[in-house]
Amino acid sequence: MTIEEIRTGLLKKEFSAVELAEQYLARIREKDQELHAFLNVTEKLALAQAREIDEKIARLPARQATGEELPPLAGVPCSVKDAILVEGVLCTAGSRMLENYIAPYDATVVQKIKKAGALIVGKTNMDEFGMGSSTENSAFGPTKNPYDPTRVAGGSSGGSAASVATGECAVSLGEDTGGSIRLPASFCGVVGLKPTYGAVSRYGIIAIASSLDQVGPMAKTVEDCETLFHVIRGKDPMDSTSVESKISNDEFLISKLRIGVPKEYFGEGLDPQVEKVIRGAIEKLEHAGAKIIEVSLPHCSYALADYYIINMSEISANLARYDGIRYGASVSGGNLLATYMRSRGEKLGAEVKRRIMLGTYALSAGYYEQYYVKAQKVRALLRKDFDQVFEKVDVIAGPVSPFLPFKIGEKVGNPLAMYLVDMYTVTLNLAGLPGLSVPAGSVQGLPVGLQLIAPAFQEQTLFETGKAFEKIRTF
Amino acid sequence: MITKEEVQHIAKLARIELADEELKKFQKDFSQILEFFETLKDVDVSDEKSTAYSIALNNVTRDDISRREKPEVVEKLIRMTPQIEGNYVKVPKVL
Repeated sequence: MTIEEIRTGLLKKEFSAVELAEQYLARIREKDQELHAFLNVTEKLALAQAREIDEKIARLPARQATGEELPPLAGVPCSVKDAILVEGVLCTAGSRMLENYIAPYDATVVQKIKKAGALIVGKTNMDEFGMGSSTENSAFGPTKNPYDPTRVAGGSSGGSAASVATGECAVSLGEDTGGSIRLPASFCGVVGLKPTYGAVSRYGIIAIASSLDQVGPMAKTVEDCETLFHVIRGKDPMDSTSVESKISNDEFLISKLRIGVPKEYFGEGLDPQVEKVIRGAIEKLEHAGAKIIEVSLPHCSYALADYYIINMSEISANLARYDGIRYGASVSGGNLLATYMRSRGEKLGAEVKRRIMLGTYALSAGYYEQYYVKAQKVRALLRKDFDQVFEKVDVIAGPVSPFLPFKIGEKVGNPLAMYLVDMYTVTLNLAGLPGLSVPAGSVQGLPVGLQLIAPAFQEQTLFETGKAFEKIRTF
Repeated sequence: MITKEEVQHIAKLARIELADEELKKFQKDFSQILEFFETLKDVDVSDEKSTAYSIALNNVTRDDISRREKPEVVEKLIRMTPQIEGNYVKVPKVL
């Protein structure tokens, strides 16, 4: 159900919030044994929140049944990626290191959705600490693709995407460091937004790469994604990188929209079947009146290497906190150094170790200039590429993923092959820009997502373009 | 190709104990990934300044006063640590 359908149903008393919660929890019980979208189902929490909503509705005077007094997410079942803290609930980030870690407080985004009346149904599966593109790096086993259980759901927010796609929840909170919302949204046929860097508070999020991480909404429709975004956005005194963005009220007319199509997004490595769906989507937007302009992002081909140097460097610093002393799992080694080494050696997974170590290497004496400083300069060039293109266009359109959801196990042995999935998504994190993944069609029954990119803090343009596209797409 | 000893040295810097098979696998992976990173060599950045953040941020400051946490939150945080003694985090001997 959409947020609007839930709201109308509650106000017309077609169902209660408790009945709704029970229905979604039953769906989770029915589907999740095979799908494995959830690491933890928070049944008690969801039902308690539902009872509060029902009491609120019972107190509404009859003449106010327009629902103005009902908060924007009243009764909306929501799943939360397991990297986001929900007070009193296990928060593992998909890692053995945090297997028994219970969140001591709510993340700001969780406080906000709770206040808005959402029902938190559970914590979703993810690649360990968000490091991966398929959810196969979860220490607790992969999430299956809802369209084909032999294939991956995408990652790292694979559990969130799969839970929305299967109707185990109405909306979800994900987190995107280098495509972790958009890629699984594309693979599972749902909508996902990576907001502008700073648009949403990250207080209470398990950090990995602080200049790239961003929390964002996932939903079945662009409208629901938009509603959830407006609930979670805004400046937070607890996150000094968050900012209060202005929402433009300019009237949106598709006939005035200029869409840039970067030639670098249709080059080597793109599956021709995916290309056909994306080209078709862009044609539909053109028929609807948008102006299509070919553009170029000349430094795009360096983005992936650039991203992974920065990502791994920041990871090596951020994950130093998992030392077996302060919190999380601990394996005693007798003395302090051995305790550090054993705890990290035993409790962190292969990809996490790989990234911490490569980041340590990139930041070490003698290599710092060659890798990290160079990467930050290339990052500045990439930003300039986007700045120049956005002088000519309002949005950029292209694929989210270069290929279709792949088979479980196909790429786990080859980290570099896995990184290639991220070639069209990481650029936005480097440049801090917002990006929306919208279902555009399918190939052999597998979903393909269209990626829409806008200048910083122009999320509204993405939502309007996305909604216009939903009306004209045909599948 | 990066050597086994180099991988071992990085592992020590990163405070990660590795099994022998892991060491072999990482030696191969690291060589591949570092070679991939070499692609940045072609980019001319002589006119660029290093940027650490993607959006323009100004320093955000607050007065330097301690904010007291509720005792129950302190209690919860202390309970997170693998080893405690009273209200202190217990650390194994350094040497």
